[in-house]
Amino acid sequence: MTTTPVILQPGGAPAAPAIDFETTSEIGYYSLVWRRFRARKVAVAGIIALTVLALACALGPYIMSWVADLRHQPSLGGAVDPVNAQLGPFQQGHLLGTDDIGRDLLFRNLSGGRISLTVGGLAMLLTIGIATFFGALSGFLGGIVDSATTAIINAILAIPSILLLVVFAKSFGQSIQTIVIGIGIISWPYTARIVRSVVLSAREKEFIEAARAVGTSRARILTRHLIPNALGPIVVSASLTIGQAILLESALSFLGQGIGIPTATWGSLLHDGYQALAHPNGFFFALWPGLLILITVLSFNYIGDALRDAFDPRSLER
Amino acid sequence: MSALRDLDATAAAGQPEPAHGEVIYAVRDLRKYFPVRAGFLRREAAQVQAVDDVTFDIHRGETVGLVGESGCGKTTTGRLLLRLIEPTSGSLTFEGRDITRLSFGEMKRLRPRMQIIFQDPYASLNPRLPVGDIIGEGLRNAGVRRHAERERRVADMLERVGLRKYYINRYPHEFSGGQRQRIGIARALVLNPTFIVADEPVSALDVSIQSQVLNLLKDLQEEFALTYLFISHNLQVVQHVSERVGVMYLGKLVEMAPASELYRAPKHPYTQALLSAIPLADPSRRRERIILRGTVPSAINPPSGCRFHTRCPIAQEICSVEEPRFEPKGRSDHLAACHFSDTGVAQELAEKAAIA
Repeated sequence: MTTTPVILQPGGAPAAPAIDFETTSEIGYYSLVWRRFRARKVAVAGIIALTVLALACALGPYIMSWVADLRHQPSLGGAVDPVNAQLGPFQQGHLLGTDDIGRDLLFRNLSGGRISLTVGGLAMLLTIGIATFFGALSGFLGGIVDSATTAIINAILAIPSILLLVVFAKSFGQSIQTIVIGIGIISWPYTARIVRSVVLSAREKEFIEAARAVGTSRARILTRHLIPNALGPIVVSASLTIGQAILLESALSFLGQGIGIPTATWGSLLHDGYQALAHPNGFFFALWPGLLILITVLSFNYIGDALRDAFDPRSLER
Repeated sequence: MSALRDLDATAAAGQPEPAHGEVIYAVRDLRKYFPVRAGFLRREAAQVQAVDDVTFDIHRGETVGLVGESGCGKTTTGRLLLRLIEPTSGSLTFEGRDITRLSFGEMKRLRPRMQIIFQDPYASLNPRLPVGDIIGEGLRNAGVRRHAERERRVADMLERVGLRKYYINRYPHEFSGGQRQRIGIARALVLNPTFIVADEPVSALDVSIQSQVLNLLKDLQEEFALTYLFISHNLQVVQHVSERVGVMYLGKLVEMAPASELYRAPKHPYTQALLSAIPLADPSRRRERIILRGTVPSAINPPSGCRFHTRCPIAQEICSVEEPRFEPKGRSDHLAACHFSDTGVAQELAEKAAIA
């Protein structure tokens, strides 16, 4: 912080300029965050990778079925040759090869990505919603609400998450909705704890007391002052949660408890590829979904890390 | 209770120079005990006696300084006066109205009349809100619904405190400490209050900026006919700005007098020790410092009798047994809580300590 030099006049008080700092440009808080985020090249690369991937998953399957029937569905009447049906990359016009019954792997992986990314995104929204609500209330109200929320959080964290998810899917059906809700239930405690701690510390700041001094109601203090101050950690958490949700969904599908056949997800493709590893072309079958999961989760993690640094108040203050 | 009578008598007899109006804020037997919770069931294990039986008056248009070291309860007192913290007991009478038990809604209507300026200009402004929203928040709460009207009044107030109108859309991180403090002052003043608690308003600022902000506060006091409770640990700043000064020790008000009187003839040994610690600008004048033994005792389990007796240079037997009354010493407007402030030993100490 620079200070204006004080000119001492003989026998008088320091000459006080009306403005004690040079003018600064008008930058909002969030544009500063964005500026800092942009400086992290890996995170920007992650955003580009995810955008390309999401567009490919959304549009790819349409384009492919429109250009040519690359699905290469084996005719029902003919006998499927298990050895020759599974093609390697670039064979017979299949960019990534085919699976054990001759279905195009590019098509399968892209349409599987739709499900995986959708589950990840929806589960993230649900997680953040529940977590922000309970975390903020718990940190703000304290007392019995805080004790109750903390008890629930600890209880959920004590149960192995995959086990809970399997039981949940078995009980309520292996659909997208069930799996999204299941992931939401096991993921929210992590974010809720973060939101709670941020609100808890922000609550004691002088600007909250200042808001009370000018007559601001408790509800408005929560929505206008406390939650916006927790927004940084919430966004970071959101980004990491998508990656985790995709991993959870993949793990569930890999165990055969995910969204049912014939719908593909990255997890179920990984499972099928794993089963086909004995085949000479099986390696690629398993490689593609694994690679896509890796790229996606890695991108979200890098974005989350960069956001964390960009939101860090210590790097914003002079 | 006798202290209360004496205070009222003092008020009736009229205040010495400068002449001020009626009592704007009457504080009686104000007490705040914070619970210390421990154990599995969070049972109340002890109490921190942060503020204990504090009684004083503030007159319209004057500046009352409140000094004391960290943890003596001066900040808590300021918060209590604004009902930002609920008092344990005692009464608060603001502009003739008992506000001790007012509801949130009633307080909300009253809040524009009484405001606060905070110590830390970095922590007291929400980093996520532009300056216009920070200053305009109180106006909105006070029922100024139209955005344009709020903006106009905020912009006017920005100019009054020495900032530019166009700063209204900027965020706190774009300002220096001194500018931020001006924003904090504007937030309080835009509501057109009569009474302001200034809680260490310059302690966090560079020395070069301190005088600017102090002068600004002085100018605004004249312009808006403000009454200040000026809380600080800086005795010289308090002497400079206050007409009357109160000294707190471990939750108790131990002495209160007109500033000139307090600095010239301190009655309480604690005040004397504080004053003797002020460095003098005159190198030819040698002074003996009154060094206090030990540290401040815990407010959870304060000493019996006079709370200062464990460190007092002139303490006698009675001090650990009987709590001295907060009563006039010598003149009606000079109150202190000490059994021996009129004795020769105390006079000697006072002469050592006096700086005015």
